[in-house]
Amino acid sequence: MSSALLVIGFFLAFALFVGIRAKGGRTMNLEQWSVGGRGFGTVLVFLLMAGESFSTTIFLGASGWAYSKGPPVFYILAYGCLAYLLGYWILPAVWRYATAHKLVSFSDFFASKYDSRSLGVLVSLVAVLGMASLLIIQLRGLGIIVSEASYGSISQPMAVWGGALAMISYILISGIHGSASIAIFKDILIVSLAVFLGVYLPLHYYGSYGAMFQAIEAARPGFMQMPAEGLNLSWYNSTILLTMLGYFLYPHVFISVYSATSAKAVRRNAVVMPIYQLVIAFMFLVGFAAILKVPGLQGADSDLALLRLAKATFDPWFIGVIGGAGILTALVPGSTILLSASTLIAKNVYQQGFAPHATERQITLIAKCVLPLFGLLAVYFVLRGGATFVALALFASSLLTQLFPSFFFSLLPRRFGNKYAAFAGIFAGGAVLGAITLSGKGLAAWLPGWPVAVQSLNAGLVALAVNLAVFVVVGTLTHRRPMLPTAQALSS
Amino acid sequence: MKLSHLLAALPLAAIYSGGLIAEHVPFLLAWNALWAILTSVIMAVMFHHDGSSIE
Repeated sequence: MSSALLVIGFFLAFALFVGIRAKGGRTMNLEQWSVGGRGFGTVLVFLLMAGESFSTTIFLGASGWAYSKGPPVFYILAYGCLAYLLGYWILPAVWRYATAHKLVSFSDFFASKYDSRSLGVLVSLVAVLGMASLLIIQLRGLGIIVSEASYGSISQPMAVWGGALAMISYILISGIHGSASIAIFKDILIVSLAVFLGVYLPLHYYGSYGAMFQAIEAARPGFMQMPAEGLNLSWYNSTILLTMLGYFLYPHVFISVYSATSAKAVRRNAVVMPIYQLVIAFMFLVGFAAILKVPGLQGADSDLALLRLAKATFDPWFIGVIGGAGILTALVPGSTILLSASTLIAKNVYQQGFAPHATERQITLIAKCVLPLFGLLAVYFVLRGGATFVALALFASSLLTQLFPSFFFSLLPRRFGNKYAAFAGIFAGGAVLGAITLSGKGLAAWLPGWPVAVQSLNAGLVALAVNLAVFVVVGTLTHRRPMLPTAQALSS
Repeated sequence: MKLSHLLAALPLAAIYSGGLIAEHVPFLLAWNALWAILTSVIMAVMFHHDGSSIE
């Protein structure tokens, strides 16, 4: 056990060292701190994007959902591929616009496109709420991984505090350079580990993949079929569509595009990323291998499937390596979320909402003050407990996807829509999503008597449809008001 | 319609039809993994074809 603890301690110290050293001799102005001075090549942008593709949602959640839900988990593999297919056209357009207008935060894009500082504030509030859910996932995952991998000698709260403080420390000093530097080591380690676990564990326990799935089918007949109700085909397809559309509206993924050195670097990434999603399939295989070997994990505990199976199989030092890899998968996306959230609160809420004449130096200072506060708030919610990783991720995705109509229409060559349509659409979609989520009931309770295929749709997609309809109606009714402008919002 | 748009429609149609096929024949794991590879291959062709579309 002490060997696991030593290895985990080494990984955390190493990450902190690499993250802080990444500052180098750079002067950290706002652009350098938040988007790396727009100087990241194909590899660094890839690593930042891969950070989101392979966060603790995947490390624990993908294997956990394979363990508890079966085939519905395959939506994760599908939406990543399709999101990057969409990104092939969208991401270069975002990069070109962001570079031309020197944008540094996620909300800058909307505020500039629609020439509306107040829209920037609204988008910031939606984004902060979505990112808070995503940060909670990373910190909670980090706590579980460290606590489990240290055989309980480090408690979950202690691990969460340690991880959050490490994250805050290096991101305050090095900004996005810290995340990118750690991502280099994280990706090499996590890909090797995922492939090893996904191959070794099923073969070790069952002899072959075929034997594993046949054993599951024999023990739990029908488990490998898509369910007829609930997480059925209708849910599967609607969730792929929702998460695919919302993928690039994760603010920390969005600003990793800003950091690229060229549109070509961004597009190259879009080409490579679908094949990278295959790593996730190995996590599914670990979850399936755990079904018959560590039975009985219920609810949120199903996220422990990978760690419990690994602990039953490997020596403590190797569990320490798995724990160390888990720390890195939480630190990279967690720190970019912190960076993105603090930048948009400082720039789009503080400056555009309250202090339009604030200098860049003041905005940077506000961002660096907000960053630890946002992190501590996330720690508070982590320690309160909650839903499974995938459930939290789906909520964040549903919320952030409500920005898609405004985002999409702003990219069209023949522009349609204005700030009134954007406001109305986001409010309508957010209200529908909020009502369904807060009621705690599925769509079936809201649409009694409707076909199962409709009742099983992802609620976020229904909210998105309402959002889109409202955007089009309001955009049409107000089309004589100022259309999308020449983007003076930020410079004013 | 550009060649790249036609090519992009392939993985989109294939991945969405995967669920429907699964109901009539793990299949979805193999299908999605196959299309993850093919999507990258198709996009590489698109990238090569569109190379001049991106100073």
